[in-house]
Amino acid sequence: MPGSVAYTKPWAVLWGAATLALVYVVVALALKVRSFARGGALPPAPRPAPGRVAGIWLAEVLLQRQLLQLSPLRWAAHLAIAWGFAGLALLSAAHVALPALASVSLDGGAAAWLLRGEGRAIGKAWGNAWGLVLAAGLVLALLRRLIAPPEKAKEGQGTKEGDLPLVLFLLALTLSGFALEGLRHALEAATPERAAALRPWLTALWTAHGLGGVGLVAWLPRSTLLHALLSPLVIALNARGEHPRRDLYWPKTTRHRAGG
Amino acid sequence: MAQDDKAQGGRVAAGLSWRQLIELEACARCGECKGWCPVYTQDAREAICARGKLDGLRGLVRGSLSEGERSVFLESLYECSACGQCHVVCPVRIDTPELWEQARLALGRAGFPRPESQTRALAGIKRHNNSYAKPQAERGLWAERAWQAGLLLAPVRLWRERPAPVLYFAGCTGSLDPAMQFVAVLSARLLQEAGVDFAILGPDEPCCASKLRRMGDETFPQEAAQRIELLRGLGAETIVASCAGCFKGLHGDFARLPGGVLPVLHLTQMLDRLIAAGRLPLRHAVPLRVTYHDPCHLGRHSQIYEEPRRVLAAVPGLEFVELARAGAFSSCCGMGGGLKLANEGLQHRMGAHRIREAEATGASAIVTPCQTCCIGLANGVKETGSPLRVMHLNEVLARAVCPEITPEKVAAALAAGG
Ligand code: SF4
Ligand code: SF4
Repeated sequence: MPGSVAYTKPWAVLWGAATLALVYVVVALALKVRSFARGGALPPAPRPAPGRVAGIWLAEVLLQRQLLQLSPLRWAAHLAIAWGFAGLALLSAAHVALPALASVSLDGGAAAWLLRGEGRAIGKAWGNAWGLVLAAGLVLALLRRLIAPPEKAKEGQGTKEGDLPLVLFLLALTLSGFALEGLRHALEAATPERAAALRPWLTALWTAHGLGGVGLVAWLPRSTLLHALLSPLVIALNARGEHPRRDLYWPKTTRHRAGG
Repeated sequence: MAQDDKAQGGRVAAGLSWRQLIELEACARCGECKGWCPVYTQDAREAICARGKLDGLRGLVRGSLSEGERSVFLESLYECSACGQCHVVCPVRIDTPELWEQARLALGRAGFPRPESQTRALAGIKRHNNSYAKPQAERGLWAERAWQAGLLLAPVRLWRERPAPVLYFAGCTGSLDPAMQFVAVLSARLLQEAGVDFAILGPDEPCCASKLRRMGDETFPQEAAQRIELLRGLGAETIVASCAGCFKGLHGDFARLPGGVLPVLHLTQMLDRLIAAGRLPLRHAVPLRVTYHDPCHLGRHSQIYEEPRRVLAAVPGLEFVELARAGAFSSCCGMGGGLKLANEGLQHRMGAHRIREAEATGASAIVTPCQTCCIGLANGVKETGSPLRVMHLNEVLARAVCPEITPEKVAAALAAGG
């Protein structure tokens, strides 16, 4: 199998943990949806054209225009984290979906090609690229918090205290992915004795990285990371339900914030 | 106890919309709202900014707030002018002012107390049909007395006597507050100068009821429905409101109720159109350096930013300087949302802060087209001892159109008539 090297991967542990985490996440999200359903109906409001709502959504969610106005550095960090996560989540989803599709012969051979064949390099490049983007975003976020906090953070008005551990955890998780890649390459080129010494490290790192990822997924419904799922929804709902606003979606923030 | 909390939380949740329940969970806790909140600027408590209030409401809905946390949340929910600044800056776009108003309503329904001063004010509005506890018969007196004192070009006619294409809606403050009646008189005079055929409801004019919505009164939908029926029944081509609060009520709040889309303009929109059409001759120079304060209800809540600026730009001799925080980022004077009733000192500090911002522009006057903001800014002037003059937009226009009519003359004439 080109590009793959052998070391022990405790799949049973990972799948066990992932299954538990997924069940937990599904139940937690279902409970959340049920709690949302306790609310009443939306008040009637003018419905803007669907094209306008789509435009707002693209600009505010995919390009995060509002953050760009508020602070270019914050925008760069947040955009890189959001896109990095999305890119990696897509890769993980492909790893789950493709074998499932292959098992019912619906993948047209894509699973074998992409996951084990010549296309594997593409998957690797995809993962590494988005991993780099994510890492860059997290480093920027860390720098903002530790070295160059924005004015408001200095005054105790910034991002809620307590999200630093989350940023550090995400960074550790991302860097462990790169370390895993590095060790894997080292194993490919290693002599048999050196390879024997490397394998336990790879197994340990693979397990830690995998369980860290599973833990992150399980934490999602309880953490502020939930906003990653809900804010795009709120932005769409509000853009659809509000009076059409001229000022909200592209306000001249920088022009007016001097008097803050 | 925990069971009771859950049940009470459930009742509050049922009073919000499902979108608002999602909004509670969607908050990214980023804190952007804090830096911009005009209340937090004066009183740096986490509970008071949008993030803090969202935290509190989320806890309340889940039934997980301790006794102490609950009273802190309840206090801060009412110490908010619902100015909407947090909505504009929030990267998640949480519709906060709508949420605060709906939460006040939901909490009231679930049996939570609101500040005593607000309860009294709400009862007064419902009892007297105005927020000044005055007899309705007095509502149209400003027009009668202004005519008798020679301040108008013609008598202002009552709708019930003869309807007109335009209904001028003076509002409680313009009709009944002696310090602000000049706004109604000058509105009428300016409309007459432009040859607009209008009438007023006088004693039949109801309170717009928007304060009921701001403070979360349960009866708002029924009270508003009565007003909608009355105003629709008049068949006016245009309803002109000179108060930013009335305008938001008639134009924004009512539009969310059945049949509530009314042909409403704010006076500044009307004046802007009249000036553009060459119908309002601005004959006299007004040699003043002024800045402009956007009322929250007119700006952020109703999207009217350009018209008042165009009106000011049309005044000959006037020099205009923009405030550092203007337009969608205008900082609130603290008069909205029942905040002044809940915490008067806080409103005064907010007014003072806005006056200091205005002083920094080097202007000699701060102009606004809202009588409520005029009162709030005047409190700020008292607080700071500032030499800055607070002017209603009507006053500036009157100086250019009919300089012989001043607010002081109007006040003296109306007081003499009383
Ligand atoms: S700005 Fe919006 S998302 Fe950020 S803390 Fe405030 S309410 Fe929450
Ligand atoms: S509505 Fe205005 S006063 Fe209330 S929390 Fe938001 S910014 Fe602060």
